[in-house]
Amino acid sequence: MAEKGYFYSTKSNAKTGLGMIIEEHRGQAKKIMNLSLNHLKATYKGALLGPAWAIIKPSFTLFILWFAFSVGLRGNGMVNGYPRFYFMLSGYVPWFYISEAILGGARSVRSNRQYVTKLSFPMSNIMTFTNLSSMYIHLILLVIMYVVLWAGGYCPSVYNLQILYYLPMMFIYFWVLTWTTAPMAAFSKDFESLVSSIMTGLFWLSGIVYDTTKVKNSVIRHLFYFNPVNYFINGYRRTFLYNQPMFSADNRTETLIMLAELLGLILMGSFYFKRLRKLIPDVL
Amino acid sequence: MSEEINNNTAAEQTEPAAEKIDASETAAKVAQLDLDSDEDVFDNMQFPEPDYSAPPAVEFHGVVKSYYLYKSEKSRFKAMFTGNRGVPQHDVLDGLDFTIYPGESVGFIGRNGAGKSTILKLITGVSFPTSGEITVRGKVAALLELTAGFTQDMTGRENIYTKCLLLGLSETEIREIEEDIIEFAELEEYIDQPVRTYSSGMRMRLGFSININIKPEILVIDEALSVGDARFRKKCRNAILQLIHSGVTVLFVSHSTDALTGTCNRAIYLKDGKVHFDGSVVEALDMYNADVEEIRKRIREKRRAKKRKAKQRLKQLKEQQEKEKK
Repeated sequence: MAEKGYFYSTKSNAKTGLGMIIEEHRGQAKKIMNLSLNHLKATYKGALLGPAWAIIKPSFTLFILWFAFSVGLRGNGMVNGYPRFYFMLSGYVPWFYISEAILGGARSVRSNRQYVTKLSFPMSNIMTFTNLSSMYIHLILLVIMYVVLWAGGYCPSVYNLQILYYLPMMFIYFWVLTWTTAPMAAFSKDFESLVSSIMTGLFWLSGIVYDTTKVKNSVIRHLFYFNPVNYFINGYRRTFLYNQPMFSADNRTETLIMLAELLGLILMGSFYFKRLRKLIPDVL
Repeated sequence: MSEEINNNTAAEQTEPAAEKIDASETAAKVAQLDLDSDEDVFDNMQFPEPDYSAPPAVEFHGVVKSYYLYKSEKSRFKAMFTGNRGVPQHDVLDGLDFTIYPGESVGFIGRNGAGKSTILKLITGVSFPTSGEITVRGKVAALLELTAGFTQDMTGRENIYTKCLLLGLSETEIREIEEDIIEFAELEEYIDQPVRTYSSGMRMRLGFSININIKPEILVIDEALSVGDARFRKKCRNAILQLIHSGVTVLFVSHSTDALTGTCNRAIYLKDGKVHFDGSVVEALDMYNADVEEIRKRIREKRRAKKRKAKQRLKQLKEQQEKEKK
């Protein structure tokens, strides 16, 4: 065992929370991958269909959507020139991931409290593997969505390659968000309740069922730029449904706002992670 | 069954060859012991010589640990934003300094709340010191929370895999020791059943077996450890003793004189958050027992004084009553 050199010291070089997080991740890639797959298995263990439930549940919701908007409410069919079903499909699929990343990410440390209070497991890795395991489900749903859009005649297109920007960006954005939310939710249960009560509001404030670029009031329309969920959902639509380039004039402002927010989140996450990391094992 | 396990651990002892001849002899003796017999190994123990030239296994430099005491959930929520300003603290450790070398087995003695468990938590890296520095060299196995990290819905085998991952083992290392773990835990066909169907004893056995089989270099043991029936307890104790003889550093928390003298060759007596005494086990125990005796005496005296006072008061009252009668 000696060659592996197990060494632990409280003399850390990391002065900031960001440094701590990087240090906790160094050389852990394989372990995190294994744990994220394990987490996926554990969530659905004890059910006959196992991890298949992770796909079945959202697929069922999508089926209901299709039924409601293609069979039931045929009358008000078009949004922004596209059938409502396809419009909502391309919004729902990223939303499933985003809501899971925000809520599951915030709960991750508290629900794996044993890892922190009983084992000396690097705390930031918990957030990473929980987010990764929601990402796996998202990838499968993405494939399903692509097949449906292809059958509808909207894919394939060159613009589909924009996913290579939107997907990693979305992952990073909501992963960085958990640097703040997960330690806080672990520290105080009230914060966890706060996050989960925000979620319903966030759903309706993001352009999932309606098109935010067609809102009449120009102030409100521009306020939507500050909603990152809206940014990613519209990005997905650009990529798969509208077949538009990601860099258009108004999109540039949106992208810059999102990047500024991401920078803010990194700073805030770094600050709170550092402040709470060493307290959490004692209070959780 | 027991022979196979013993062979396994005996094989590991070949590594530190030169200085541990005495120790391996005792280890062989331990290995030969029948689990069902009454014979005990504590009587004929011989400790391996610690390696004082090597870099220390555990170092504490001016370690201070204090816990925040939040009055309510509200003050806790507020503390997230104000940074614990004005939150009362409870000091447990007040500047600890000690160094433990590889191969030593050290017992921590102290009254309840002296900070013994806190020290073990700090060494395992679960909790962090308020100030001061801690350095630990070597893989730590903690026999503290045996069932920590188990997922109820997963099978025993899957849990072995997850737990070992959490402890930082690689996949090949896990596959290497998997069979040893299952065999030691004596779970047999239950190993492929979900852990939620296990009895608490089975869970403990599995947890213990994982921790003892990951080939630790530092072993942390809390006294309140009792796993399974008398026979399995003995097996556990033998496994621990074998580890000690293979040159593992052992940190042991206990109140039991027998267990301490039988397991440790050094003791640290903690008092008021400081190292009160650091040296031989017998001396430390004498000091501890003397202190406990003194405290008991003080309590007894207090009680006596109270009784005396009560008697006097009664006397006075009676005298008064008699006076009034007259």
